[in-house]
Amino acid sequence: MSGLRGRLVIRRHDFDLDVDLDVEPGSTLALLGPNGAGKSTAVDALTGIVGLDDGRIRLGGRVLDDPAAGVFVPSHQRRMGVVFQRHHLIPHLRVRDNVAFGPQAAGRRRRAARAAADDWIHRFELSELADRRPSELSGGQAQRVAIARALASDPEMLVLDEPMSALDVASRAGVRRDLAAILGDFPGPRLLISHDPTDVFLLADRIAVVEDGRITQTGTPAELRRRPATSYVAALAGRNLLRGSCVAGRIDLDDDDVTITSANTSVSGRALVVIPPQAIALHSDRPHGSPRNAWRTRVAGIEPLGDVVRVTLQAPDGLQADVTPGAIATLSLTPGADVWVSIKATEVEVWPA
Amino acid sequence: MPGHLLRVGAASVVFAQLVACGSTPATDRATELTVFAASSLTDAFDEMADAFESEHPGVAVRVNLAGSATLREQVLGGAPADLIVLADATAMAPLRSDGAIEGTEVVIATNDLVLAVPSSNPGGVEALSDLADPDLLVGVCAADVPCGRLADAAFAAAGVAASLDTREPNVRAVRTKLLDAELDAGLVYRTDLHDVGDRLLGIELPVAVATSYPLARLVDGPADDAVAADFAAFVLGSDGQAILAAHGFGRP
Amino acid sequence: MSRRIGPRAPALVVVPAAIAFSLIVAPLAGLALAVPWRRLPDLLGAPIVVEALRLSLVTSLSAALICLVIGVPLAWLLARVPFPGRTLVRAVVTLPMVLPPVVGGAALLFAFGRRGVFGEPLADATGFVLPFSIWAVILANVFVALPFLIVTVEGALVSADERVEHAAASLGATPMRVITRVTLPSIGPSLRAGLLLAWARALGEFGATVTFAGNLQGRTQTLPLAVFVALESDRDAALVISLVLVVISLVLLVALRGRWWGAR
Repeated sequence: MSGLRGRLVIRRHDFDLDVDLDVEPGSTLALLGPNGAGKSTAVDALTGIVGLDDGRIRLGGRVLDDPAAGVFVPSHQRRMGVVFQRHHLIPHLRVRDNVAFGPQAAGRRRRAARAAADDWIHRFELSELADRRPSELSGGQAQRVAIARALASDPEMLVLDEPMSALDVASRAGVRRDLAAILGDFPGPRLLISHDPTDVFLLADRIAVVEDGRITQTGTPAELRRRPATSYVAALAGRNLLRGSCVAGRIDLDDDDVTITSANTSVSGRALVVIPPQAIALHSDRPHGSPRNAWRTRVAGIEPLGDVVRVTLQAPDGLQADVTPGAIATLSLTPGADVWVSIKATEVEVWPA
Repeated sequence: MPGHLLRVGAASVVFAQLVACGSTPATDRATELTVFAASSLTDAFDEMADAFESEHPGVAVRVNLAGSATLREQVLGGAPADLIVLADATAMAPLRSDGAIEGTEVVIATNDLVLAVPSSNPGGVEALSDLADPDLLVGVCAADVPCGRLADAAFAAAGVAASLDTREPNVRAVRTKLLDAELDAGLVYRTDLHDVGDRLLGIELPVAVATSYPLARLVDGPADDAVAADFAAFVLGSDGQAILAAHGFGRP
Repeated sequence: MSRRIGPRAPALVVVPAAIAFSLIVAPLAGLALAVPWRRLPDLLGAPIVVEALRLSLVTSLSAALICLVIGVPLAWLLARVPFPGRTLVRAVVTLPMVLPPVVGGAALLFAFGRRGVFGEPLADATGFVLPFSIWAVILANVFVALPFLIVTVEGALVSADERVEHAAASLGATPMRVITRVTLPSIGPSLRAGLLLAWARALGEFGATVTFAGNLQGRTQTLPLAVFVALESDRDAALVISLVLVVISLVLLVALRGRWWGAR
C-alpha cells in the first residue's frame, strides 16, 4: 500500500483550491486551516461528492479521480471511511443498523452485517445504545456511533472531517480519546480536517496548513511550532499545550516541577492545559499583587514574529510568550536571562485528556 | 322529415294565450329583460335578442344559456329571470308545481334527433341498428338530460340494443367528440348539424323522436310584464320563427 | 386544571378567520342538512352509487400508485440533479394544478384520443383506443394528481439533509441503495402526504375525466360524474353521492394531518 497521493484542483467562480495531499499508510495527516480555507472542498473532492477540475487522487493502487484520464470513481466505490462534523447517522435506523449499513451495502447478509456491527459496537462500548435511534443519542454518543460505523465499512482510508467541532466540551474528551485510539490502530492513511489546533497537535503525525485554497506549510507539529511560516500558523502553533494531572483546578505538569492553577475546576485526573502566548506576562521582578500563577525561570530563546516577539522559556520547557519589542528592551531580555512569569488563572484552559 | 313524430315526455304544453295582448312596445326608460334559454338555442337566441332590441329601443335583452336542468335549478334557487325556454316539456314540471310560472307555457319550436357520424365515417355506420356493434365507439347524452331521454326513446322505438361507450353530460359534448372523430356515431339534435357544414353526416332515424321547446313567463321576473310579453310575442311572430327556422328548428 | 397561556388572538384576526372557516363549513352543513337521511340506506345501495364508488376507488387508488411510481423519480431528479432546463420542467410539471381540468381533458384527447398525436399511432398499431375506457379515467386522474405528489415530494427532498446521503454513499451504498434505504425512508411522512394528496385530487377529479374518458355508468362514471348526472334528475341520489365523497375526502385529509384533535 502506498497510501494517499493526491493533487486536488477545484476551480469555482469565487474561489479555487490547489493542494497536494500525501498520507502514508499508518500515519495521520491533519489539514488545518481557518473556516473558508477550502478544507470542506478538499473533503468533498476526496470522498467523491465533487469531481476534480485538475490533478489526481490515488489511494493504494487505485486511481480515484483523474480528469485528464477521464477516471472518476464514485463515492460508494472509494472505500473511504468518513466521519463528519455532524454525525449524519441515518435517522430512521437504530444504532446497530447504522453500524451494519456499511457491511450490508458491501453485500453481507443482514445477520452477518449485524454481527460485524455488534463487534464494533462492543469495541466502542456502545452496546447499551445499540437499539436506540439517532435522535435518542447525545452528540458525543452519536459521533462515536458514526466513528464505529465508518470503521465497520472496512475502509482503506479514514477521513475525519471536523469530527469534534460540533460537540460540547464534555463529550469532546471522550470522542478525542476514541479517535486517538482508532487512529493508532488503523493501518491505512488517515486524514484529519480541523480548524482546532488542540485536536490537530494532539492527533496528527504531520500537519498541512491550508489557507485560502493553498497549502502554506507542512511539517510535524514540532516543526510548525518551532518555525511557523505564516501569522496564522504562528498564532495557532504558539498555543502552549502542556500535560499534567489535575485536581480541582490545580495541575501538576508532567515535564517540570511547575504547578499551574486554572479557574476551571471541573476537570480532574489527566488533563491537557492550553495557554495562549499572549496571556503570559514577563517581569524582571516578582510581580505585584497576587497572580495565581507566578514563577521564576530563564529565557531559552528570542525570535521576532511579525509585530510581536516570541520568547521561549525553560520552565516549563518550551513555554512560549508573545511580548512587544518594547518589553524586550525594558526587561533587557536576552537568552539565559532570569525572568518572572505570571499567568491569570482565567487564561488557563484545562481539558480532560 | 320522414316518419311520424313521436312526442316524448308529457305533452302537456298548451298553446298560449300568453302572447297576443299587444301592449305598447317600447318604454322610454331603459329596461333590462332576462331570458334563460336551453343551450341548444344558443345561436338562435343571440340573434333573437339582437333583432328584438333593434325593434324595441331602450330594452336590453340578457340571455343566460345553460342546460335545461341547470336553468331550472337556478330559477328554483331564486335566480332573477323574466322568461325561461327549456329543451323539454317535462323539465318545466317542477317549476310549475313550485308556482314559479306565470300563466301557461307555449311551445316556440321543435327539434328532433338524428344519427350523426364524422364525415369520414370511420365506423362505416349506415343505420341506427349498426350502433349495436360493440366495436364501434358510440356516444349519446346522459339519461337524465332531454337529449339522453330522447336517445333512449329512439333506441326503444327502433328496437336497437345500442352498445354505448359514453353518455355525455350534454349534447354539445357528444357533437364535439363526433367532430374530433373520437366517436364513430352519436345521436344529436338536427340543429346541432346546422352550423358544422359538412364535417358531420346526418342519418335519419327509422322512427323519428322529437322534443319541443316550451317558453314560460316567471312570476318573480324583475322586468315589466309588458316587455316580457312583447318578447314572447316576438319569438312566436314571423320574425322570431324565421330566426328559429334559419337555425334548423321546426315549427311548433 | 392548568391554564395554558398563549398569545392573545386579536379580534381583527379572529373575525376574518371565523368568516373563512364558516365559508367552508356552511356549504357542507347545507349538504348535510339536505341529505335525505331516511332514504340513505336505500340510496347507498343504488347501482349508480355502488358502481361509481367502486370505480372511483379503483381508479383513484391506481392513479395515486402510478403517481408514486413515476412521480417520485421525477421529484428526485428535480430536487437532486441539476440539468439544463430544470426550472422549465418544474414549471411544466405544476401546470396541471392551475389548468382548468376541462382543458386538461381536451389536451389529453388531442394527445391520446383516437385521432390524437400519440393515440392514433397506438390505435393503428394495436387497435387499443384509450378514451371511453377505465384506462382513460386513470390517465386523466394521473394527469391532474401527479403535480401534487411531485411538488410535495420534491419539497421534502430539497429540505432533506443531503449529507446523510453522502455519508451512506461513503459507506459503500450505491446511488440506488441510497435512494431506497436512506432518502425515501427519511421523507416517509412527505411521501405519505403526497400520496394522499394525489389520491384525494384523483378522487375529486371531474373535468378532465368527463372530457377525456366520457361518462358511462360502471365503466367510466366516477363519483363526481355520478353527482353531476344525478343532479339533473335524482337530487337525493346526488346528495348521497356528494355525502360519500365528503366523508371519504374527510377521512383522507384527517389521515393526512395525523392527529387532529387537540390544539396542534
